[in-house]
Amino acid sequence: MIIQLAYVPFLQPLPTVAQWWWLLLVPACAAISVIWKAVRLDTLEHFWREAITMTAHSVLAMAALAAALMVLLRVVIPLLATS
Amino acid sequence: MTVEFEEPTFNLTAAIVGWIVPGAGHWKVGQTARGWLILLGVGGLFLLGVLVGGVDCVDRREDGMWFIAQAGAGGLAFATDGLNIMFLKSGRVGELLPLAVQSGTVMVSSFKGAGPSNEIGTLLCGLAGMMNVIAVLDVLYRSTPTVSANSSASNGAFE
Repeated sequence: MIIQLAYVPFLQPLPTVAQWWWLLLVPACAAISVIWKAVRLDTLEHFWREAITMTAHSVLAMAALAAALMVLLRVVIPLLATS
Repeated sequence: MTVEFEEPTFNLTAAIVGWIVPGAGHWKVGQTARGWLILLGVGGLFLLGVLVGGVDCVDRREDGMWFIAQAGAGGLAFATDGLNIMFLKSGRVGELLPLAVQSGTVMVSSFKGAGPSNEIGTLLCGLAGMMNVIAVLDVLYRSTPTVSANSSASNGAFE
């Protein structure tokens, strides 16, 4: 039996990430938005507002896509199979 | 405030500096705030990837195709790959365990990542690399803004 005594950050993979990996979408979208807006905006006057808006749009679009795929897999495809 | 832009120039040195240290290319062309934001984004995304997957998620030899994307983050990717070789592959941290493969047995670190954490860590580091490539391409042809004397300084728009 292997007993993990302690988790060493940055050297070992994060334990239990398989249960909440989808939450990493939020920091990933936030970081991508920060870089994209830093590159694209002419002035940085409204930078954070723009970056937060882009993050929200990306996360909501991904959530909508996930919901649409769930409907397709759990509702539409079973209906096709029975018809 | 009057802001004038110089004609876009080919900033090859800034692009190389920006590849080695994310955001440093923008510092070099005088866009300090933009450079810090790029460093925050690329560095944050890369560190998140290494935190999730461990240093093993950046591996030049075993995950060569992924490393092409990760190498966009320049120094961060090569330093993490070096740390992987220095600590995990050498067995300095953790212990080396025999793993049976088709061609025989190979020694792998007990800290080696597998499963979703390794995949997600690899993906996040790859994303960081590709985003830094966008920043490098941006600085390659970025014109330097010059604020005229009659303008009020430090309104947050330009540095």
